[in-house]
Amino acid sequence: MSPPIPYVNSADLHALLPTTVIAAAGLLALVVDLFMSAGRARRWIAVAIAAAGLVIAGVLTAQQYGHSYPAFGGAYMQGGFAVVLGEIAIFATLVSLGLGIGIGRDDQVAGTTAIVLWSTCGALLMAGAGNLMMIFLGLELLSLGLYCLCAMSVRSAARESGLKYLLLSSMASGFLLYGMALLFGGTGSVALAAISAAPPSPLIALGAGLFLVGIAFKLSLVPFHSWTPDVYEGAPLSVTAYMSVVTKAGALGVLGRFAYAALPPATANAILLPVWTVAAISMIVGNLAALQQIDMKRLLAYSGIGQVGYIVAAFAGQTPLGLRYAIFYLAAYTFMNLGAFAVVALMLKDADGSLGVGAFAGLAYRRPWLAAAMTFFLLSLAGLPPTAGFTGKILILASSVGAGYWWLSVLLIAGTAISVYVYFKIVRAMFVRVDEAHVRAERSTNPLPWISIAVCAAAVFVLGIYPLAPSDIIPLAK
Amino acid sequence: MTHTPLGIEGSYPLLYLIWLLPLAGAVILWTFGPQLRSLGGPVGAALVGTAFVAALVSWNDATQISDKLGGAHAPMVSWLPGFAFGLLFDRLALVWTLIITGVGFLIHVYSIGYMSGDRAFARFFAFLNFFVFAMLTLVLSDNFVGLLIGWGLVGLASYFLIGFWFERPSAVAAARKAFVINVLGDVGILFAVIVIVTKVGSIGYGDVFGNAAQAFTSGELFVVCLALFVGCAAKSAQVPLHTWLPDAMEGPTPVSALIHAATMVTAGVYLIARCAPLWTASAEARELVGVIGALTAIAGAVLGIAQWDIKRILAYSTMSQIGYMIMAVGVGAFSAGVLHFLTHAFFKAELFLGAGIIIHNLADEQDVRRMGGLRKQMPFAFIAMLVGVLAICGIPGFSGYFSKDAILYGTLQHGHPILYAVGVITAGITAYYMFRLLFVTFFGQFRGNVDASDLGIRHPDSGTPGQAARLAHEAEEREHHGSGHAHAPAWIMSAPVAVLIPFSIGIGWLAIGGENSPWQTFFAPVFPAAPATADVAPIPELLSGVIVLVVVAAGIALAYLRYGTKAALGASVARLRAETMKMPPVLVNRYYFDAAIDALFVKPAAAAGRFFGSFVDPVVIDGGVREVAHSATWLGHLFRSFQTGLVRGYALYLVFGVACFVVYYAVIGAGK
Repeated sequence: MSPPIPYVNSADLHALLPTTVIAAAGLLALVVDLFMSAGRARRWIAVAIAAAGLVIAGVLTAQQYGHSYPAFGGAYMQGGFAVVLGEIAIFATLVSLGLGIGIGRDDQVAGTTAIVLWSTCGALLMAGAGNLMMIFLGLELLSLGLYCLCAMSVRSAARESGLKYLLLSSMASGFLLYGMALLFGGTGSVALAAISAAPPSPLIALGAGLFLVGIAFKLSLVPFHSWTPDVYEGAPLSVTAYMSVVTKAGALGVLGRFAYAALPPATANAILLPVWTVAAISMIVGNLAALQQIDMKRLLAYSGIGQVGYIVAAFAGQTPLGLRYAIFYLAAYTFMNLGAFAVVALMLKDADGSLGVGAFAGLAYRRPWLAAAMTFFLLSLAGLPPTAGFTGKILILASSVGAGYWWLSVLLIAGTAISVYVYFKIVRAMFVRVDEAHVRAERSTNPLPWISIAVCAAAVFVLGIYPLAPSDIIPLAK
Repeated sequence: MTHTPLGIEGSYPLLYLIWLLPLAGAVILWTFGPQLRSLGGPVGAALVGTAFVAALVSWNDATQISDKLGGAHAPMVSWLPGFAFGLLFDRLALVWTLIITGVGFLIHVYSIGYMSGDRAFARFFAFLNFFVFAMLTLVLSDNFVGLLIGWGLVGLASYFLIGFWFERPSAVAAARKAFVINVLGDVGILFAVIVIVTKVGSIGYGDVFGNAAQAFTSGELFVVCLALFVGCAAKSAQVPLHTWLPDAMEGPTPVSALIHAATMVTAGVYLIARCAPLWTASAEARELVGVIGALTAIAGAVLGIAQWDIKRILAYSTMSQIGYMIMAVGVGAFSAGVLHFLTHAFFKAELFLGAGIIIHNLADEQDVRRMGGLRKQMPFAFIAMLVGVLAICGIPGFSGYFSKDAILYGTLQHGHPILYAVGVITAGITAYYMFRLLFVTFFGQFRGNVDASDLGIRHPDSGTPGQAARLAHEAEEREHHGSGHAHAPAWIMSAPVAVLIPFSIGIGWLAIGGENSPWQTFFAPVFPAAPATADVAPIPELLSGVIVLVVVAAGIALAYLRYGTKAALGASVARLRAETMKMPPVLVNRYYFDAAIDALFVKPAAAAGRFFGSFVDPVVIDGGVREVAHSATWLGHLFRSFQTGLVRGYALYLVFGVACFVVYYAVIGAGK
C-alpha cells in the first residue's frame, strides 16, 4: 500500500492564488458597492478595488515565473508560459476597466466590474489548463461573463451583439465539447498529456478537429469569425478592448498547450494543418475586409482577425521558438491594440459610444499628441519598425520559414501589405487638413486612457528594440 | 566567435563630455540662434574649445596600457549579442580627436570674423558644431555601426555646409554632388558591415579584428576591404570618386579648411588605419589601396597646375595629399600616413585660412589672376601662406618634410618602388604648383584692376558653372559684406592662423629620430609591425630624402623661372593670358571625369528616370496598384456581403467550416 496522497495540497492552492485574488476582488467590489450611496464615486471605488486586486494578482503571477508545477494532478499547470499569458490578461483587464472607468451606468459598475474580473479568472484558468475539464471550465467562465458584458448597454445593438455572441458561442462550445468527448473516448483520459501517449485513432483525429473548431471560434479565425465584427461593434468600447485581448490570451494558451504538449509528434502536423490554413485565410480575409470598414471598432475587429492569423502562424511546424514568438507577438498585439483602443476612448465623450473613421480627419492638427500616439500604434499594427509589431512579425516569419512553411510566410507578407493600406488610411486621414466644422470632434473627460497610451507606447517601443525578449524570457510549455 | 576586448574598460565621464559638448552646442545654437545673435559664434567656439581641453586632460586615458590593451573603452549599451555600442579612446582616436577639436576650435574662432555679418551667423555655427559632433562619433565609436552612423552624419553636415549659401545655385549643386557621392561611399561601408556581421557575428572592432583570420577567407577579406575602401574613396576624394571635392569649395572658406582639408576628408585614412589588422591580412587590398592613393596623389597634383581659383588649387592639393596618406596606410606604413594627416591638418588649415583672409579682404575674389603683389598689402597672409607652402612642399625643417619623407620611404620599405617613384614625381609637381600659387598671388603688381579679358579670363558665361554663378553673385555679396567688415576685428581671423604657424613648422619634429622617434614610439603599441622581410629598402633613407629634395628643388626652380623672375613678374598680365589660352583642354576639363560621369551615369539615369516616370510608374506600377486596389475593394465588398448581420447566416458559415474540418479529420483519421 502506498501512502495516501492528499487530494489537494497547499502547493495546488498556491498555484490558483492569483485567480483566487481576482475572484475575491470581484466579490469585494460587489459587497462594498452595497454600502455606497449613488453617485460617481461608486464607479471609482469599484474600479479601484478591481485594480488593486489585479495588481496583487499580477505580482503573485510574476512570482510563479520559473516555478512550474502541475497543480491538481496536472489539471492546472503553474508556471511556464501561463505566467506571460496571465500577465497579458491581467494587464488587458486593467486597461479595459480604465477606458471607461468601469462599464455601464454608475449603479452597474460594481456588477460589471465583478463580471469582468471573473471572466479574467476564466482566461487565467484557460492559459494554465492541463486537462480538458479545466479548459472547458475556463472557457465557459470567460464566455459567460462576456455574454453579459456585451449586452450591458441599453443600446439595441449591444443587446443584439450579446445575443448573437451567446448563440454562436454556445454552438462552438457544443462542437468543442463533442470534440472533447471524442478525445476522451479515444484515450480514456481527460489529461492533455494522455493524448500524445495514446495510439493514433480516428476518434482522436476527429476529436482534435472538433476541439480545434471551438478554439478557432474563440480566436475568431476565418470562417469561424463571423460573430466578431458584429459583437465588437455592438459591445461597449471597453468590453470590445477586453475581448480582443483576453479571449485571445486564454485561447492561445489552450492552443499552445494542445499543439505542443498534447499531440503526438508523428501526427501533429497533419492534425494542425487546418489550423494553419484558417490562420492563413484569416490574414488575408481579415485585412481585406478591414479595408471597407468605416466604424473604428469594426475595423479593429477585422484587423484583429488578421493579427490573430499571424500569431497562430507562428506555431507552424511546432518549433520551440514558434510558441515563444507567438506569445511575444500576442504581447506586442496587446500593447498596440489596447493603445489604439485607448486613443479611440479619448475621442469619445460617452464611453459607450461608437467612433467613425471620419473622426480622425485632421486629428494631427487638433490633438497632435493623440495623433502621434495613434500613428505609432498603427505603425506597429502594420508591422513597421521601430515597433513591437515589426519585431514580432520578423520573428514569426523567421519561425515559419525556418519550419519550412514558405506558403504561410508568403501569405503573411501579403496580408501585411494589405494591412498597411488599412492602417495608413487612418494615418493619412489624421494628417490631412480639414474644415473642423465637418468633423465630429469629441473629447473624453476620463484621463485614465492617457496612462494606458503612455504605458502601451513605451512597451511597443521597448519590445520593438529590446533585443533579448522572446527567446530568453518566455518559458516553454512543460 | 571569441569576444576580444578592445581597451581598458571603465567609465570615462570626460569622454562623454568630449563627444557630446559639440552636440549640445549644435542644439543650443539651432534652438536659440536668433536670440544669441553675435554671441552664437563665441558660444560654439567655446564648446568645441572645452571639448579640446577635455581631450587633452584625458590624454592619459588614451595612452594607458595594460595587458597588451591600450586606451580607454567605455561600453554604453548592448543590444543583440555582438551589437554592443560604446566609445573607444585610444591613441589613434586621440590624435584625431585632438585635431578635430583643436583645429576645429581655431577655425570656429576664425569663422567669428569670417562669417560676421552673415544673415545666418548662428546657423553656421550650429552646423559647424554638428559637424564636430558627427566627426567625433566617427572616430570615437568602438564598432562599425557607430562608425557608419558617424560616417553618414559627417556627410550630412558637409552637405549643409557646402550648401550654406543656398541662394547660390552652384553651391546647391555642389552640395548635392558631394552628398550623392558620399552616400555611394556609405553604401560601400554598409555592405562591408553586412558582410562582417554575417561572417563574424559582431560589429565591435575587437571582435572583428580578433576573429578576422578565422571568419574570412582571403577572398572575403578582400571584398570587405574593397567595400570599406569605396567608403574611404568617396569621403577622402580618391580617384574616381574625387569630383565632388573641388566643387565643395563653394562652401564658406572656414568650412573648406575644417571639413574639406583638415578633418572629414581624412576619414578614409582613419578608417584604414583603424582597420589596420584587416589591411595587414590582405595583400590584395594593400596593393589596390596603395595604387589608388598614388594615382590620386599624382592626378590631383597635375590638376593643381591648371587651376586659377585659389581655393580650387588648394582643393586639388588636398586631394593629392590625401592620396599620399591613403597610399601610406594602403601599403602598410600606418604611422607615416597618420603623421601626414597630422601635419597636413595644420599646414592645409593654415593655407586655407590664409587664402580666406585674402578672399575676405578682396571682397570674395578667388581668381589668382586678379591678385598679385599681395605680399605688401597683406604681409601676414603672405607669411602664413609661405609657411604653409614650404611645409606642403616638404622643405626640410618644416612639418611636411618629415611626414612626406616617412611616407615615401615607407613605400620603399614595404616593397613598392613604383609607388615611390610616383610619390617623388608628385612631390615635384606639388612644389611647382604651390610656388606658382605663391608667385602669382603675392609677387609682381596687383592685377585686381586689370580688365578680366586682358588676363584671359573668359566671359562668365563660358566659364565653369560654378565660376559663372559666383561672378554673377559677386556684386550682391560685395555689398552685403561691405557692412560686415566693420564688426570683425582683424585679429580674430589672424590669431588662429598665427597659432597654426608654429605647428605647421614644428609638428613634424615629432618624427625626428627614425624608429625611436616620439611618433614611432607613440604608435608602436597600436599598429601591427611591418612584415620583417619588407624591412629592407633598396636605398637608405638618407638617399631617398636627397632624391625627393632634388625633385622638389627642380619643381620650385621651374615655378620660379615661369612666374618668379623679374621678367616674368613684369609681364605677368600677358603671360597669364597666354597660359590661360594655351591650357591643355584635358586639364581644363579635369580629365573629362565630370563629362564621363555625365555620359555614363547621369544621362542614362535621367533617361531611365524618364522611362520609369512616363511609362513604368504610371502604367505598370500605378496601373497594377489600381487593379489591386480595385480587386481589394471588390473582395472587401464580397466579404462584407457575407456579413448580413443575421445569426442564422453566421451559424451557417460556422457549420460550413466545421464540415470542412470534419471531412479533413475523417480522412486523416481513416488513414491510420
